[in-house]
Amino acid sequence: MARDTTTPEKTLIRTVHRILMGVMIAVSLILLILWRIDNPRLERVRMSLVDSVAPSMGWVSEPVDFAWNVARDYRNFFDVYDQNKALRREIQSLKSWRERARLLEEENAQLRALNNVRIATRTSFVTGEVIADSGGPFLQSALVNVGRGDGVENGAAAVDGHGLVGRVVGLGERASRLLLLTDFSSRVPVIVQPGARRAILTGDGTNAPKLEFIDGIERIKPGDLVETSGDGGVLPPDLPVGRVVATVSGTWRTALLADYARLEFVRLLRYNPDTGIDGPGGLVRPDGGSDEPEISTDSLVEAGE
Amino acid sequence: MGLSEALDPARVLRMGLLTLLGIVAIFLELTPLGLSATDRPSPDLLLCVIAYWSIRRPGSAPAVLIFALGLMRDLLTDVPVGAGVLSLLLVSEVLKLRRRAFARSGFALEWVAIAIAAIASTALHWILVVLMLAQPPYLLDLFNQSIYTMMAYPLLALFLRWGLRVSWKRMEVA
Repeated sequence: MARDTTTPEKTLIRTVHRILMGVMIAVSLILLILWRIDNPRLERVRMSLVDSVAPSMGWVSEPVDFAWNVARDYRNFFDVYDQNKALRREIQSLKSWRERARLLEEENAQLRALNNVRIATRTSFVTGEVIADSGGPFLQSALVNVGRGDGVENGAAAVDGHGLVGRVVGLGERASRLLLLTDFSSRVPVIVQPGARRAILTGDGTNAPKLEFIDGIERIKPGDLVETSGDGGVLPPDLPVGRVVATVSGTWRTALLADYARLEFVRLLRYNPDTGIDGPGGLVRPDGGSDEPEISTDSLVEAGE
Repeated sequence: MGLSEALDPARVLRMGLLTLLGIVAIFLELTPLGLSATDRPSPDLLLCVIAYWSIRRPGSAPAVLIFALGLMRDLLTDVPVGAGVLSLLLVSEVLKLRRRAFARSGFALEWVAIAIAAIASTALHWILVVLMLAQPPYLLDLFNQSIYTMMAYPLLALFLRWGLRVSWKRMEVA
């Protein structure tokens, strides 16, 4: 086992090893550059890998999840009494709210019927389980076990029971990758209610993303509701996001409504905006186009007169 | 090590075991335990497994296998793709060169070396991300992650030593 026996075979192996190391280092640097420029091919490779391993991830993560939940429930066990009291109080106040909500709903339905309103867009959703998180400080993202095969689309909004969680940035056949609102590269157009002031919600690796480019910043108050604005057509409008909080440094942040610490299931919304105006309207000619045959020009003229 | 030894069945078996352990380590890192930005980062378990193995069984921890495991981890988690691979490769090569010292002087030195490796590898990630002009994460979070990696290593070493009986070969300790 002396180190300096230099048989030709050993020299050969050492040279091959060196070349191999060089190649592998070069490949990883190239991969890093591809990662940086958000190469779509890299994302495809990544999602196909996720697709192939996602089904077998359960047998490792489920026992760990189970142990984790047991530990958490054990901690909860001690303050059951206090929780019970708090819950009772909450039920009381919720009951009165339910009554309010029912009345409002009725009124709303009546007004809508009077108006013959067409509700803007229909949104359906797929619910998936969070199967993996990024596990590191570099990116805030998660994998969900529904994908293209389940009707998820790229850019789909992910919500939990309370509010917006993030959006889909990678799509596989049976899994998709979510970019959370807390990630450094997350930017979401929002409006702050009341007053519908537009702003951009900017993730910065903390639990409360920043509000930037606020329109009418002097009217913003802590506690205002932050909702998605739907600008850009990626996310549907009016999804609740969080509440405005002020910080000592003078920046405005958003306390997110979504419960990231206990995120198990998320809904991925299928949203197709159908109210976009893509081009100018066609010309209405008195003699009628050949492609729109059955409009009687007489009635049009009559209506005009 | 000759080419005839390279395909020794026992060695292939050990490589298979390392692959399996590596995949389990990646899956454990991926397990979602709370997604808040300030949640505890998972320790770099893959680094621990590969470090332990490279020191004790360098013959069955070839660089190509480490590259493959690292790439899988980079693609599944969100370490900058390529940076994780690079740091794993470098850590395992350096540890392989210094393994005789660890064999002679016991676990304490090895632990210190792993601590340095953990910090160095996150530092490398950070530097690469900065060079790529991407937004680097907070140094405090990275430091926390290194601390967790450091804490995880003795536990993993216990498991591998007494659970799977992967230890020094007798002639190396003598």
